[in-house]
Amino acid sequence: MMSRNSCSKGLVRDCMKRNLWAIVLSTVGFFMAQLLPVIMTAQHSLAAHKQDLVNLSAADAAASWQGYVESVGEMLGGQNVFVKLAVIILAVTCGVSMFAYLHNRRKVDFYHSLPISRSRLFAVDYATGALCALVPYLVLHALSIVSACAMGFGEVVNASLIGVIASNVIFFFLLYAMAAVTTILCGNTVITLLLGLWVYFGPTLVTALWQSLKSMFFQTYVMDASMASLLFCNKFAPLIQYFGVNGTKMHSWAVEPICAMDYSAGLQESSAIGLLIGYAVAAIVITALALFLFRIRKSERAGTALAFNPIKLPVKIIICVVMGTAFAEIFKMLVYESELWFWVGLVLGTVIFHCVVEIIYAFDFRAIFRKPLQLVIILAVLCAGLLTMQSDVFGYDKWLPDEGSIAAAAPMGYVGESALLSEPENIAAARQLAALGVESLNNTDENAQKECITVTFKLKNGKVKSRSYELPATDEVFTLKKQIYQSAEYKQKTWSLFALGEVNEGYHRNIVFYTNGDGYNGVGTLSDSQKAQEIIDTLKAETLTHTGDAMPVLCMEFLQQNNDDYYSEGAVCVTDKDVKTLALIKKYANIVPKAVSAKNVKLITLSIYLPDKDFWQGVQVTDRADIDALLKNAVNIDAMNLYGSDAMAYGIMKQFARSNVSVTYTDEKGDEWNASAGYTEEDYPKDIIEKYRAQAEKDAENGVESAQDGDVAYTTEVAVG
Amino acid sequence: MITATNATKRFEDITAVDHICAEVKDGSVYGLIGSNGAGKSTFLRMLAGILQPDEGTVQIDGADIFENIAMKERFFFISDEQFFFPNSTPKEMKNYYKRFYSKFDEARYRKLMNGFGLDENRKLRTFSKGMKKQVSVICGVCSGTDYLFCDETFDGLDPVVRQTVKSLFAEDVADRGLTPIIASHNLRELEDICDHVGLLHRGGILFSRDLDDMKLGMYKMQCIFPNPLPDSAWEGFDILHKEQRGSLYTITARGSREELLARVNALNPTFCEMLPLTLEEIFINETEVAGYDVKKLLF
Repeated sequence: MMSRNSCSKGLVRDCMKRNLWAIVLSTVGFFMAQLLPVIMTAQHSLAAHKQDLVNLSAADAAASWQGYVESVGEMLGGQNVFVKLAVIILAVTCGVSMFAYLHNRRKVDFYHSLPISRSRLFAVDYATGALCALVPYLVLHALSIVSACAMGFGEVVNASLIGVIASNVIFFFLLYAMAAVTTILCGNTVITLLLGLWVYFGPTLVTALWQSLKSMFFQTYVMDASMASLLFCNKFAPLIQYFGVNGTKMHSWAVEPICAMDYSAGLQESSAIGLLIGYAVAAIVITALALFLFRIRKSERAGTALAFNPIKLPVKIIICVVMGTAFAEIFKMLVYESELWFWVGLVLGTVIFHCVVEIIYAFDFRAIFRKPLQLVIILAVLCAGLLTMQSDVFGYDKWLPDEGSIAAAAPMGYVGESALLSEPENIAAARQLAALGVESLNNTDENAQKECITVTFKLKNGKVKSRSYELPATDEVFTLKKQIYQSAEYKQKTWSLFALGEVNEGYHRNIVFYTNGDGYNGVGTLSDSQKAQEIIDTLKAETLTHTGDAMPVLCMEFLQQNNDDYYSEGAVCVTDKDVKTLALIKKYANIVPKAVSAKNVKLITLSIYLPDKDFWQGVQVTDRADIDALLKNAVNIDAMNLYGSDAMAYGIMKQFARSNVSVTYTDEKGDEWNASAGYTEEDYPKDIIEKYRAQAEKDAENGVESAQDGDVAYTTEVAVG
Repeated sequence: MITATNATKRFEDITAVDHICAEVKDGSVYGLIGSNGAGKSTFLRMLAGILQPDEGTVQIDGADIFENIAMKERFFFISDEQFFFPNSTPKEMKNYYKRFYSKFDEARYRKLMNGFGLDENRKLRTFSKGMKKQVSVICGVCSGTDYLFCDETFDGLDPVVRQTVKSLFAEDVADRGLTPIIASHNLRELEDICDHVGLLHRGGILFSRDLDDMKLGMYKMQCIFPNPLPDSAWEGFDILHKEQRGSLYTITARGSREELLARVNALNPTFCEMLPLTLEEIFINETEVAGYDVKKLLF
């Protein structure tokens, strides 16, 4: 029968007294991370506001005050990085220290000979660690709130702070439970810390290596997002993802990987409640696992590397596989992408870490060559796995979804649901592009003109898959792409014109205009938000009515501005077919399109690709008639911001028959500047360019200096026809 | 009563305790002796519920000890390497033990602390090894348990304290039927306190008997013969050890006193004396029979 004195409450109190250091560490930590920053920010804000009241108008001072309030709110809320660091440090420290006695025989003998069940002993230790860290946190958070209110920042105190506290507590318990499990699994505290590094950062490392392997072995692999984004959104690495959570909200990059293209999405926040619930459940499950392991843990395992023999082999396999792969990739990177050194690194990394793990397991250097058979098997399986990837046994590159299984598609990487096209024509076109890409996988003709395209499919089962293809520059490909880019659905879902939302409070919307003739210099700005909106609405209506080729004559860049603070909302072209929009622009901004003029053009450089010699030869056009002909109906690619899909939406080609046109202007001061010229298909001056192709070939034979292949390599990235 | 039935404990590929069968009767003082690495501490840790037997059972009154709180309340374990909380005092340790042992006798604790001249408010880390042992023993005897498991408890105690501790044990055995189980390789320490001895060797138990029975069944004889005796003269003796120095023979043999005396007298010795065996001698002889030759280790 349990002694009445040994009730858990009394034991926890005793245990807390013995672990006073943890309470002090937590108190100091959260004082420095929570209370002090709040007081410092509040004090600084009050001083700055005092100055603002003297130097600024009442309205500006009030606006500045809101900024100060937000600063204090950030320190008190979920954006306080110091608090997150303190939570992480305390969770790991308390989790390890509360169970580290399991690594010491004397202590194990003492505790396990006492008349207390292991379950209760676990509960006492677990509760003690949690209370030592969380009670000071909660007290100091409360004090921080009181301090903020007392200093006049009461408006930052709202219900969201409960979410902030809840999220910090959930992350604490999750990381704490992970530390507890790691400690119980090990028989030595140093090994616990090493294993802890694996537990906390292993999933991130595995993600990075996996992405790297896929990009290395699969021709069509496309990274769904930037590597950083992929690493941060790994649900199995809560320690890292914690930094993306702001109370019950979280940055979208922490929710799912985002493409670098969709940068604005990274600034948005979405609900983190689902994630927090998931992590809370995980914390409970891991705590239950810790209890189970604690109960079955053999006392005699104190002092050994791992307390459970059955996990020795799996842990070794994981370490060998991951580190072998990491070595392989590092070696490959170090020796100029050498495949030979990839395999050398793989073998070396696997062998080294097998030896290290065996030494650690035995705590004996002489164990270095133990279990060679296991090493051979691990190495063989790892090599086989990588060779399987390399030879694409499972058909990753050749994968093509059934048309009936596709819910939506997009001729680009995945940037979110909103950009996926669901009209059957667009889905069919995207799938056909992918099919052509699969067909061209075995096309080894290096001289063939190719272009890259990424196709994304959202399947009806909810999965999203992207593939990147090198497509031949054929009419079929061009037609399919143009069909998608000129569709109303594509424009509505991807153009910044249709993504323009409400004007933010305190801001107004400007439109800056550019013409073909004026190049990079804006020709005027419309600052009236209402008029701007009218132009926007008119262009939206007009641009959807025509889906064929059109000549861009103006470029409009949208900006939201508040005094000196402004940001761009993107740009869109106005074509000669947008008659009503052009009329409004003339009416409100008195701006009319201006064509590219030959007046200040000194020369035009044609870059012509010579397939036989595999390089680009530059040819200068100085003949005035030819210059006039080349500039007739030319579009200033740079001023109109016409690249890739934007260009194709208007049927604009910058590059045709492997040539491009660079126009050199001379301004009034004599300074020269270049711009690329583009054309609609029907306006393309093919005859003149072909006329100069002969000269390019002659120049190439005579060794006339010109742009080489690499110098104009960027041109392959722009729209082609 | 404590019963071990085929209790076995393996550490990786080492069998520390190998199918031990033993009984410890209540109210006895059980000495657990054995060579280094014989498995004494392991067996004691199994008795204390720290280690779970890989095979067999270790029970108190028919109930398994491992993870059995009711059974664990009936004993107190004094480890060979005691653990005290960092920066704790004897008083704090006593208070901690009190939470688990409902019969803890605080008055006796104070009396013993004073008797041993120990300050209960002094940090234990400032205590000597022997003083720490004393604190553990005091907490152990005051816990009011039925059994006291002592692993090398007399190590580090000075002779006076050693005797005092033995007296304490004897007092509790007499007063309330305490059953101390004392593991030690210092056989002289156990000789005057144990009434039952279990001899462990290489993980197995060689024997477990009452000390008196053991002493009565084994004798050392010193005899002087006028002429050297042939080896055949000793046939029929259950000799454990024989040593000859000139005409002086020192024989250790099993058997009753009368039987051995009669046999030796039949060989017409000039002088014959029966000597009682010390526990150490019994230990050496028994282990020697089991292939553990102390002399080979020493010389």
